[in-house]
Amino acid sequence: MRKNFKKIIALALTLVLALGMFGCMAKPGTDTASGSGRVEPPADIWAPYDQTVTITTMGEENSGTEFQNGDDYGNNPWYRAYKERFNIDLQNKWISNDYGTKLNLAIADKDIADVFYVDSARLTTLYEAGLIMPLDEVFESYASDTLKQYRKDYADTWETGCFDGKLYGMPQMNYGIIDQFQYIWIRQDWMQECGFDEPKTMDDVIEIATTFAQKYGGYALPECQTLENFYRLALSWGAHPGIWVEQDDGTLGYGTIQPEMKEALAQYTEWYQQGIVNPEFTTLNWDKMMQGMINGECGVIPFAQWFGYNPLPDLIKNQGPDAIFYPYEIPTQDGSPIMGSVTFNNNGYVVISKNCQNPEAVMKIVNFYVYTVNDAVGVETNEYLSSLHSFNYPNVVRGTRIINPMNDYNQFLQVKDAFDRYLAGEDVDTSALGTNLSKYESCVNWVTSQDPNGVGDYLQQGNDRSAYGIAKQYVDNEQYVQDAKWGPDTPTLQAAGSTLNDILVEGFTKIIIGEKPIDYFDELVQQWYQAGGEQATKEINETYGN
Amino acid sequence: MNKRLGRKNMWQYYAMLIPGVIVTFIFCYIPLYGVIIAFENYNVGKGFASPWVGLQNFKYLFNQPTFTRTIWNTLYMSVWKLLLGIVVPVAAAILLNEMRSNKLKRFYQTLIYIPNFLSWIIMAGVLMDILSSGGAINLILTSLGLPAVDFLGNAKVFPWTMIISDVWKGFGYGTIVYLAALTGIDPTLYESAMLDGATRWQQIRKVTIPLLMPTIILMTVLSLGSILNAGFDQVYNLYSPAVWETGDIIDTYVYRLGIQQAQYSVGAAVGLFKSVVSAFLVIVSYKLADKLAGYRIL
Repeated sequence: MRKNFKKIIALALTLVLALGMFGCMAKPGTDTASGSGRVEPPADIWAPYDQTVTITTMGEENSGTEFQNGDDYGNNPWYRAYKERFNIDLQNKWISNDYGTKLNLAIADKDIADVFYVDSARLTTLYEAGLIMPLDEVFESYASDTLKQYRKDYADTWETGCFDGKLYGMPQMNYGIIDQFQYIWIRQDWMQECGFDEPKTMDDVIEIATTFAQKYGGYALPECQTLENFYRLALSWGAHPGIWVEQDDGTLGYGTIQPEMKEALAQYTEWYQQGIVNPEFTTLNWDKMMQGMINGECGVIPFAQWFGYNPLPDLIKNQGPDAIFYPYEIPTQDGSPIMGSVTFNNNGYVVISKNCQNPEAVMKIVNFYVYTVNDAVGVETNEYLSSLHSFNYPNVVRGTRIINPMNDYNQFLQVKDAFDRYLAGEDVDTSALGTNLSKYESCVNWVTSQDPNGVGDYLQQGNDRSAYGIAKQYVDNEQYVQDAKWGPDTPTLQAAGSTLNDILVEGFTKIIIGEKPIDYFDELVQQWYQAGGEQATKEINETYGN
Repeated sequence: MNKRLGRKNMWQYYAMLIPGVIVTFIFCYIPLYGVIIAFENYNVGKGFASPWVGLQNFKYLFNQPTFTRTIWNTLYMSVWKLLLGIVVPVAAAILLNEMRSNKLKRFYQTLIYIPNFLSWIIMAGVLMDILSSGGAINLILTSLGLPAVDFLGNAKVFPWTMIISDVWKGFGYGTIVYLAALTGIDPTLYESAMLDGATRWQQIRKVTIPLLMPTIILMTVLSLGSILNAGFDQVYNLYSPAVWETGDIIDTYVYRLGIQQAQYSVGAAVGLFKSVVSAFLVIVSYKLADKLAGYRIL
């Protein structure tokens, strides 16, 4: 009996296998129909389908993409690659310049594509409405080794795409924490003319800034309505505005209402009263502040690593290549090493409709993106990889890509190394650069011909004093405070997060312009708690606390 | 309406109303069902079957420390806009009407009407430049020995910057309405007034203004319905955190709260709140106008 049973099982398995193979040949992919239950382990996850499989998606218009030779959202190097490599026909259900609204309508109509990307709030919505499928099985069977490694390496982030322990949304990750740090950018030609060295204390920074203002006009420190420069400088006092930090008593609290912020605010208010902070900042939005920078009104600005991309090229077109700014570390009040703020940064989640007939085809597409930024270097030609990654083409596959969080870090190492060798006059083997070739080339363009479009890459990663050069130390030495909220917003933060921040920005503005005394800060914190901050703090401690 | 025409003879007129009533019913009454979103925790995926939360959205809104001030700010700005929005165009219309040269009259009429066609996005950019500390207005003020005014950054001045710039932008339109009403006034009334020895000023007070009153009342009642709209486009493009204290209106607040954070239920709750208050105001003001001045629209 027992023997017979085994035989029957073996026979049945063979039959299933044979049928499965037959099915594959006849109508590829449909054997995995519902996707939630029966996923056949594949022979080769990279193999093409015999018959074309159609997958639909929904996407967002992206003004940054420069389509070449008549390409468009439906026909571009990525979509052609899917067709050539896998015989997958990726079709756009729609492309919208108002993705969020259009997506809401699609969800309300229950008329969604096979695969698309969502934010964490909509991931919850879709899960609760039962419109998306669990991905564990198809992921196990079809995800490439590299993609599986991502899941292992960034397990906490992948956890945020799970409900009841099942994966529903694959996190799209980010370009790495190396791009999250803040610097003080100082104009080089003015610095040399005035004979200043790298600032060691915040007083040095202010001295440089005020000297510039006296000598070259304008004002010492730029600022705008949202107080973002103040928030950046607050790091100097050990404050971490915008992220959740562990307080002295071990519980989690919001960084923007900690005592360090009050100290920073008191100093900033003094600077405003002395005319150091742009007296007109209350009426300037970010664009207007940047316009001032482009006009050369200011030689010092606290800013992120991408200052070289915007506004610096415009400034250089305006005032010549000598107007270049370099990034410097933000000095701390007590001279200790600066601690940056690092937030949970996930670009979205790839989700698959529960009605998708070929979820494994989606995995192939996702695998391919991962492949092009990792294993393909050296395997595929540089021209081929560049054709996929230049002109912001990766944006057209916004819904199906998963980014390598070590991307920018590795890129920096490669580009810096190649560029150093270029500067030393050695031969540079550009074929090893893969998708990073264009970054290297723009660094070269900047030093050879002062091409303003190359200055961004040069300042981000090309030279000895580049932003990533500084940030690499921060990453290597773990010189940062990680947001305790390592995941999506809690319900109260989703509902009222920006309203809560508004209360603080408004109150801080009143203190800075002298309408309220500095002790109004404490009153403000109470207001913040009242308006929902208390509930938010409770939720954060429950979800993310120890 | 001729009283001899009974209801029996008017059925054709009622029949002609039917298409309009049907369209209104389909597009204005059926969607009213959507009001239930205000009492739910709306999830786009579940639609109208989202969980019912009763008055929670309203409670949440009124518990926000910065919400109640927006009601006051809205009323302050829109009442002044409403009042000046009557006085200024009526005055302008009468002045234009008194002009002898038709060419000049048309010229000025066109000139004051032009700002009405520019959107607030463009207007805001222009105003920000004109009103900045180094802008035209402050240059004039300082050259006259007056102190410079922070029109957009000072919370005390900001509402008036909004009121005056809105009236300035919009009064051309009102002027045209009142000019049309003026041309409808029987010239023989002025002739007989002149024969009685009335001066120009007396003619305006005793003939023009009383005959304009129905139009003024009509325009006022019509605009009362939108009294809780203090001008989102305008305020949103010109305000900043420094002036939220006096400049944040219901619509801008809800925009930051509801739309930016995708809180559809709270947004719907505010919309419902505004509609109820507006409907109440329209009914009361209409009854008052009827009772005090004896004016009715129909």
